[in-house]
Amino acid sequence: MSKAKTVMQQAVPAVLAGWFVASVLSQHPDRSYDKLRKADKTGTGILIPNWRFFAPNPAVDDQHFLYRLATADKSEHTEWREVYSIAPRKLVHAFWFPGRRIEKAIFDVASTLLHNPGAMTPLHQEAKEGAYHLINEFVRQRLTPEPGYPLFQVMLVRYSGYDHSEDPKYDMVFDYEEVNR
Amino acid sequence: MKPLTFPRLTGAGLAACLAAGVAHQAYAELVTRTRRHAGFERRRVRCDSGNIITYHVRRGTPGGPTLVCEAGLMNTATSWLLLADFLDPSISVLVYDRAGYGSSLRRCPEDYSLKESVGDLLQVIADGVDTDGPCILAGHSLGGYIAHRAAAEAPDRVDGVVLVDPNHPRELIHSRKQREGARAANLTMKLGPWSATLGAGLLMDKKGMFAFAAGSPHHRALRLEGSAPSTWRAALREWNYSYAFMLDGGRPLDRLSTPVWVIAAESTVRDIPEHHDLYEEYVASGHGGSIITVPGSTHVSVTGGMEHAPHTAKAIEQAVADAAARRGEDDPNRREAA
Repeated sequence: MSKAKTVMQQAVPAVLAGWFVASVLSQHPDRSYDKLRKADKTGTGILIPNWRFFAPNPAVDDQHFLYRLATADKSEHTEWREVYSIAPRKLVHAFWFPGRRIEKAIFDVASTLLHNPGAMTPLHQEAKEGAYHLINEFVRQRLTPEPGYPLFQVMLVRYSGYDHSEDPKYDMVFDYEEVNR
Repeated sequence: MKPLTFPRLTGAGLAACLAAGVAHQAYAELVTRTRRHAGFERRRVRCDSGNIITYHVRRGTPGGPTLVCEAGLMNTATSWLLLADFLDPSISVLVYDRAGYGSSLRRCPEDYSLKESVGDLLQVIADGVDTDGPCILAGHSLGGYIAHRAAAEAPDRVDGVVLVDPNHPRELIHSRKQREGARAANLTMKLGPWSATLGAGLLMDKKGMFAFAAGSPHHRALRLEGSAPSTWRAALREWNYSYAFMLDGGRPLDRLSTPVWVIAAESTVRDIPEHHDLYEEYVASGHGGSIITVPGSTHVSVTGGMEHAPHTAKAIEQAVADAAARRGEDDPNRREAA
C-alpha cells in the first residue's frame, strides 16, 4: 500500500469525524451557544448545520389567549379570562377534525409573534403588526364586556393540555386596546 | 493497533469534548464559589429565610457613608468590583452574592419570591453596615428593583437609592420591545442550567458576550461565572418568578422617603424611549433625585465597562454625597455635631 493511500485512509475519517463532532456540538437550540458555527466562514451556516433550519420550533404546547378588562386609567383589572377552550382530543380526531383549523390558525399567528423575536427587518415587523392586530380583533369579538372597563389586554400562554401538574408558561402580554372601536 | 475508523474517532471526539466541558464547568464553579475579592473583607450571615449569604466589605472612613451594591440577574458581587475600584476610597462599599450565587447558599424551604431577596438584603445591611454613617443602596438591573423595595421596608436605615439601569415591575406591560426581548431571554434562561452542567459554557461566544468588559481586571472572573451551573440555577429561579411577575404588571412602586437617583445606560433610553417614563416614575417615587445618563453606555457596560464605569462611579459618588448631606440636615443630633 502506498504511503499516500495510508495517509488518506487516516486523514479522511479524522476530518469527517471532526466535522461530525462540530455539527453535533452545534445543535443547541439557543443561539448563544453557536461559537463553533462561527468557524463556518461561508456565512450561510451550511458547513455546520443546525436542526432549527428544518424544524425551528416544534409544537409541544397548546397556545391560549387570555384577556383581562381594565379601567380607563389601567389601575384596576378583572381576572384573566380564557378566550376559548382547546377541544379535548378524541381518537376520531386523528381522521376528521375540522374544528382544529381555528387552533392551527391561533398557533400559527402566535408563532409569528413568539419566534425570532429579535428579527427587526421591515418584513418581520409588518408580519408582527398584522399578527397583533389579528389577535386583538379575535379577542375583541369574543370578550364579555363589563361597564367601567373600556380597555382590554391580551396575554399569550402556552399550556401542555395533557399534564395538569405543569404550570402554564406566560409568553407575552399585549398593549391595551379599546373594547369598542 | 486498531485502525482509526469514523465511529471510533467520533466517539473519542465527543467523549473528549464532554470531558473538557465538564472539567471547565467544575473549575468555573470552584472558582466562583471560593473567590475572595482583593481589598474586601469576606463575611457571612445566616438570614431569617434560612439563606446563608456571603458579603464582602471594603471599609472607608469610620462613620462615613456606606454603599451597598445589589447585582442584577445572572450577576454576583463581581459585577460591582470594577465600579468599586473607581469610587472614592472614603466610601465604604459592601457587595454580596444573592442566595444561590457564588458562595451564598440558598437554604430557604419556600418557593422563591423577590420578597426573599429583599429580606436577605435587609439582613446583610443590618449585619454589615455601620449604623453611624449613612447607608445608600445601589442596584443594577433586577437588583435596582430589589434595592428600591428594600429601601421602602427600612426607611430609617436607608438614606438614598441609586438605581443603575434598573428593571421596573411594569416594563413588560409598558414596552413591547421589552416584552419581545424578555421572550428571547426566556429560552436562554430555561436551557441555561442544564447546558452549563454539561459544560456547554465552552460553546458560548463569551468573547462577544463580555466584550463590554474588555480590559477590566475582573473580565476573566465574569466569564467564569457565566460557565458556573450555580449561577444559572440561581438566575433561573429568579427569572421564573420575576418574568411572570413583570408580565402580570408587577405591583405599583413603593413610595420612599429618601431620594432616588437613576443612572441610565444611553442604549436603553435610546433604543427603548418609553423606558424613560419608568425611570421618571422611579425618581418620582422618592424625595428628590434625578436621572443621569451615561453617554455611550449599554445595560452591562454601565457598571462593567472600562470606559463607562468611571462615569457611573462619579454619578454614584455625587448621589452618596447628596444623601449624606440630607441625612445631616434631617438629623438634629448630627446637625448639632456638625
